[in-house]
Amino acid sequence: MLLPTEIAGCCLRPWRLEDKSALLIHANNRSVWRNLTAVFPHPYTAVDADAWLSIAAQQGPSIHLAVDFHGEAIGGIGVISGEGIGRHTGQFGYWLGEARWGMGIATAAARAMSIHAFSGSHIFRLEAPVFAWNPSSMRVLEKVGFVREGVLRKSVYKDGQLIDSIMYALVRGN
Amino acid sequence: MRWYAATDSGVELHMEIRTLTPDDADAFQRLRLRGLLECPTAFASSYAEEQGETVADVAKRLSVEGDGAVLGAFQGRALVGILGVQREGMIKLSHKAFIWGMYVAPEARRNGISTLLLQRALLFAAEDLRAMQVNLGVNTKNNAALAVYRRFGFKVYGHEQGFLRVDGELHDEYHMVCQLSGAV
Repeated sequence: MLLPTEIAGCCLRPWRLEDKSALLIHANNRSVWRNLTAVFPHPYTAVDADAWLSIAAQQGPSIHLAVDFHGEAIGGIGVISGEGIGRHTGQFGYWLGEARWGMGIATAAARAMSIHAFSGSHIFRLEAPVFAWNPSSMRVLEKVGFVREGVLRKSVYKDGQLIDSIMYALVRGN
Repeated sequence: MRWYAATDSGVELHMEIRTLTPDDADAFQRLRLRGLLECPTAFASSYAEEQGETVADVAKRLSVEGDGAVLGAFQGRALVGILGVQREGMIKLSHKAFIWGMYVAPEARRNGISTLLLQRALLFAAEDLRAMQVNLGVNTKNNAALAVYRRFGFKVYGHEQGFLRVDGELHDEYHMVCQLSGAV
């Protein structure tokens, strides 16, 4: 599978074992780690990279793709499928290597991924809680059409602080 | 379940989406006939074929238990939007459902009613019918409907030329499908 984006040379595609070196370069970064959940480690070691590439290769209701820019995996994007009463909701997340910030790649990737998630699946809602100190990611989600639904006060413990997160969501058909 | 739809004036109108029952036959038939008169090129059926149906005939159509449903959108007590969703009858086709007859009264448009109807229909197809895919057909010139279907992930898989002939004029049809079973 390969999902094109609106940026030339940028597509979303499955992770490959050969992405390990690029993954280590782009993921081993405190600024990236600071905006992600606890499953994304820091420092990011070769063991972590191997573990991730094996998780990403698993088939299942969730999807994890590499953000490919001119052949190099420069980040990741995915949707984790919910269960029970949340089975039609997907947790939406992404990250990019710091060297590629500010080029519109996150917006293009998020748009391509959200369109993909709403075609051919059981997902009716994508939700993306953003840490309060990450307004850049809020702008990305707003450009893609996600709606700011509310503040989850003191919902995140990250980097030694208890902070708010902001719930952004996109509903299928809206 | 109750919904609220924003209007241009910013006032929230009371909106309810529910499955129609035989008791709704009269209101359904009136709205359906309005649609067939107003948009003859949007339906395969026609006013001439349905105007003579009795309320009892229509009630029978609304008693589709188990294999389908006709959904209605109500503003207050007024039925303003309708949509049918039905499982294919044959065993080898029964993993599929199709959507038929979506219509929203002109005075109730631009309120997101078609979006609410489709959200409900796709969930009904996935949860109640256990359908793996949903099909529909739409006039290739019906841009408003096409836009809504695309937003839900429907994709055109066929373009049939001359699908309808209305008053001597031919109309093309897009055949669209929305997969519901796949992984993300």
